[in-house]
Amino acid sequence: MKSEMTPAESISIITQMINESKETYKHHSFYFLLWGWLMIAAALTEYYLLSNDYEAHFLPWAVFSILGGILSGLKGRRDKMKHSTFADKVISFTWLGFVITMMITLVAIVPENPNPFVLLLAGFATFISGGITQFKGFIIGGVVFWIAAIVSFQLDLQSSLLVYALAMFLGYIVPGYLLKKS
Amino acid sequence: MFKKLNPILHSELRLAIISLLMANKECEFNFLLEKTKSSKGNLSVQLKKLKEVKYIEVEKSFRNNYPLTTCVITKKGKAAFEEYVKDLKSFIDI
Repeated sequence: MKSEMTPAESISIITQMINESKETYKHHSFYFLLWGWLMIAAALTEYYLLSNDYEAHFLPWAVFSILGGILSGLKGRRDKMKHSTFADKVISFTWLGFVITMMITLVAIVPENPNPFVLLLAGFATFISGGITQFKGFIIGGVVFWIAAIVSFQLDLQSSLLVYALAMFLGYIVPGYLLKKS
Repeated sequence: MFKKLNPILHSELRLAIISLLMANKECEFNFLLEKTKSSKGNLSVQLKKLKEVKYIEVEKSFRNNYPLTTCVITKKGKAAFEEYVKDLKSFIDI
């Protein structure tokens, strides 16, 4: 590389390097798809257990969440990026904040039906992720979660599980696949 | 009269490095190597120069037992880049 440049060449280098750093958010689709499918499985399993009067009907949430945590951790370690952007950091903190807020809310309130609260918070985090990535699928997904939360507040636990599963499909799975294909 | 462009930044490779660091929170050595298409030796020399003038911070660590070099831009580096771009504009706006 030569050391003397014209101003136009300088501008060209700056533009080129910034374009090289332009983000692809495809790698985020893995987490939305993973958690989407796991949460749908957890909701439908709980629905089945409730239908059969199992006492520990909430157990699928623990099992699938631990599984999700392990798989997310492994994927994160394997895909350690060579550069991390500010947007990646904001998205990570948003979802970390989501998990902490959800745990505090559920422990403090111990609601009979936790699904509307989870949907409300998931809507918040998904909406922000959509805004940061400029991906409309997640912005709409966030709104879907909010609508599902409003509906779930009116339902009993068992019925709200079906709304929850549907919201996960529309809010995580559909945009997740769209992002993956983009 | 035009202001003289900052000689530290007015070099193709150093400007490329600083531009990448402006656009990213942090960059690994291999990422900079890949994007600037420079040689390892030249990149190391330029990073050292940028570190000496405190435009960047270089952190050396290990990942899976392999050495890992990570670079971040400092406040001084950001200010220098912004000033450089401002000076460039005065050349372009003729």
